[in-house]
Amino acid sequence: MSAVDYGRRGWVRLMLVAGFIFLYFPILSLIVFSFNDSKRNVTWRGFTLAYYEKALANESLHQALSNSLLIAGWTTVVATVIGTMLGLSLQRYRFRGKGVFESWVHLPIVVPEVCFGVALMVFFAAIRLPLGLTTVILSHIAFSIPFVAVVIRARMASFDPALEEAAHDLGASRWQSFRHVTLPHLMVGIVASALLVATLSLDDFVITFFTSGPGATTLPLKIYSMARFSVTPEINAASTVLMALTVMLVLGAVAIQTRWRR
Amino acid sequence: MESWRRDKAGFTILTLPASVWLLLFFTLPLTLVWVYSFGERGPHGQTEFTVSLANYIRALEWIHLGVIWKSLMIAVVVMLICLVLGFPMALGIAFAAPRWRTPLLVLVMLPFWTNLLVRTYAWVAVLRDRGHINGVLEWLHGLLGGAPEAFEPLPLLYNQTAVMIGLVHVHLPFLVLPLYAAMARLDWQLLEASLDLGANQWRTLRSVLLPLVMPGLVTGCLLVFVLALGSFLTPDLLGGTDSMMIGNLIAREFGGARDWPFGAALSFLLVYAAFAALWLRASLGGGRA
Amino acid sequence: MSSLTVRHVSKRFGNTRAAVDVNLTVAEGELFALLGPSACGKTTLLRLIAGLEEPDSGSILVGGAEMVGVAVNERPINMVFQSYALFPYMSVADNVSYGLRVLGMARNEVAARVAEALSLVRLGGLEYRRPDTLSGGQRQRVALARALVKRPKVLLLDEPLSALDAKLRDEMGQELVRLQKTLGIAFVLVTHDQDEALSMADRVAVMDHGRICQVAPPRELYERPASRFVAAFLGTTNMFEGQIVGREGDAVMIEVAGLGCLAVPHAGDASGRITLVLRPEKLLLADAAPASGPRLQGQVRETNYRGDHTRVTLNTAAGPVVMTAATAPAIGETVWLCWDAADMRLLVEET
Repeated sequence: MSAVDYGRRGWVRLMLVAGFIFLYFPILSLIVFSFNDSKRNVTWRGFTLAYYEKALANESLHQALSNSLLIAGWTTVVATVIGTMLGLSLQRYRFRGKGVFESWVHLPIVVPEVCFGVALMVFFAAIRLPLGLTTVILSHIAFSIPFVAVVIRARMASFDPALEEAAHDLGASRWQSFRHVTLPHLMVGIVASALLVATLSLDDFVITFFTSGPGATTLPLKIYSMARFSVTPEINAASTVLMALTVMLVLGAVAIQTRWRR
Repeated sequence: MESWRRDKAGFTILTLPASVWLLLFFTLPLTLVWVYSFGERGPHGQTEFTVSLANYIRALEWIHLGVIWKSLMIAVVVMLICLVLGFPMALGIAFAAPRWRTPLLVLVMLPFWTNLLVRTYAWVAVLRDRGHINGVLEWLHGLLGGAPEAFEPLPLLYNQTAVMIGLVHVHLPFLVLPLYAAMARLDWQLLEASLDLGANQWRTLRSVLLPLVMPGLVTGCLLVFVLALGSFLTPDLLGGTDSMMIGNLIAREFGGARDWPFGAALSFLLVYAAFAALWLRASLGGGRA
Repeated sequence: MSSLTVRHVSKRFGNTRAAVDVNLTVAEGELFALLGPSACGKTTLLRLIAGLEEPDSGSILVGGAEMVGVAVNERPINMVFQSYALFPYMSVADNVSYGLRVLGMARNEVAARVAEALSLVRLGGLEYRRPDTLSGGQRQRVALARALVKRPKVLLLDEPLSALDAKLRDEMGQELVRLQKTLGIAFVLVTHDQDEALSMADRVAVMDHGRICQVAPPRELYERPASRFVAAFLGTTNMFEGQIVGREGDAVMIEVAGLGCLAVPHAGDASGRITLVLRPEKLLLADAAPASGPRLQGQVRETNYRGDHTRVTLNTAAGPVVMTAATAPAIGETVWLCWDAADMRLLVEET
């Protein structure tokens, strides 16, 4: 029992519990009420999976989900690859104006999403590219790249450059030493950032809102349009599915992070 | 780290794709909007390029100032509530027994990773007239002998209160996490030294812990402020006619109202605010080093 | 009255027993050292005395008053932390005055006491500097001043010299002793460095695995260790296994493999197996077998030049033996070792 015991103070514990209740109550109630056997979803009437069936049978929801997955897939692949390359470059090379370049690369994280989304919409209009799946994918990749670069740099910070030098010394070419020595260490960071990008892309609303067009509805957008009309268990079901997808990705990333600590 | 000249090919291959992408799909669009902000809305809704500050001036006109002012106020209140709620939470997690720390952290992070839309929508069911809170109040009302028809539900939805509650909910993790990170990095010996020298727990919190975690606290607060200021979805779903924020205004100008130059000006005001906060963070953080 | 009394204190962290029935007393004005290898429980004991941890059982008395149950900030004890724990964003003066400001002391009195403390540790003039602009030695003095300004009954020091380089260590060590003698406050310092403990302390407690092995003034500790552990921990020593075979007046007859039968002065009852302890510096080189007294022949295996002496390791019939000589014999040479019987110590087998 150490003398520094803020963790055991009554008021701290109370606020912690209160905070968690505040954070989880709406979400948990949403999940619980997705099983509610009542169309207006006001009081609890009984347990049913009917609305999940309804959601799963809903054509447009289906379409939205597959759109979301498609977009997330493409975004993950492209953003992870070029983001990793960027991260490696920043970690490896010195060049004039690197400070400014680095700040520029991190800007998308700082700029408010509304501004970014609106700017992309304007841009696509100016180059006469119709809004649709393509524009969404292009946009998602754009905002994902800085996140990948950050994760990769963090991972590479724990890499000992002497290892690559040792490989060279033993006769390996640049590419070989990268593949055999650096890449294995980097792999954890690559997987973590891929999961991160997938999550960001699946969950994104604001930027997608401004850059999508007919036929390019994503799951969040679809839920949004449904929610504007009414509150039904079907929406809860669709939301729960979306959350479940994200949570799985996040827990996967956390599991990798804990192995990362080696 | 080596100079790029030693490996020009490698440097180019690694750096070019991302740079081109960001240039094309980030810098260019934003620059375009910036140019637009000096333009004018033509008779048919198209944009004519001029160089005028008319849009910025209009943005600061008192009508719109109301929206801007309200957004600023909401963002500040949300930041303060997050601080009051989040500080003890960060404290509780940072000083919890080691085996509780990771689970607690994951618990705080999970909502943060959950979809913004879902989190906001969840509040609709809680706050509406026939939602959870009013349901409990109605039950209490009945318990205390009131007639069912006499019960008037609290108008908790589609107004500023709802927007603030929703914003606090969405942004709370953004304050807890940097603050926790700062607390976790603390040297406990400094706290022990303060106790050893005769200060009690409160004095130690005030005089030793607080100054030491200030950078993390400032980061968290500014983050919440900027994100809340630029929020769009939460006021849209939870707000009413009186709770429009800058984000909604921008969306409207680029949507139905079709006044792109004006929307562009508003948009950039928001960007400048974000940059100002960044600069503030950097200058405050620098002084603490 | 003693400054500090520790009685039957025990503390456990999960499965580790950090302190096992510890008993010790520190007299007023005494410089007391807790010595032991890492993880022997000495720092835990210090923290228990400071109040940063509470013991599972036992009592801790300062000036006769029970301290167990009393909060850290209310004990008349102050500690100098190993890392100094100076508040990084406060100036030297603010750091030193912190303990007084917390009490709500009047500003001018605070200033006077701070000036007094800083001149005591010879840091006058550095009041407005920040800790990160000071050297290691200076930071330690600030930590000292900060603790001493409160005029505690006992001052605790956690490895005070370990962060300093060798030369500074010597100087600082002397200065700490001088300071302590000037102030007359009891100091309890924790260290793993036996040179430090032996050169500074009035009395030393050697600890191992949470237990106190021996408490004695430095000379007695070195020359009359109570156990194998203490003998081995303090400096190098030669140890031989043997058996008691009889008694002759005030000496005991022992039989040691390779050494034969020896008479060792030893008071008190003793029987059974023993360990014979012989310090390297007590051995002398001789060209030929000495006429009387204990002797041993050996072949030089290794020599280790140390500046003012050479450490010589020899192979003998009783096993490897270490001795110190002013000039070293050549490797491979066969020499005779002799010593005074009175320099031998017996350690009776512990259970």
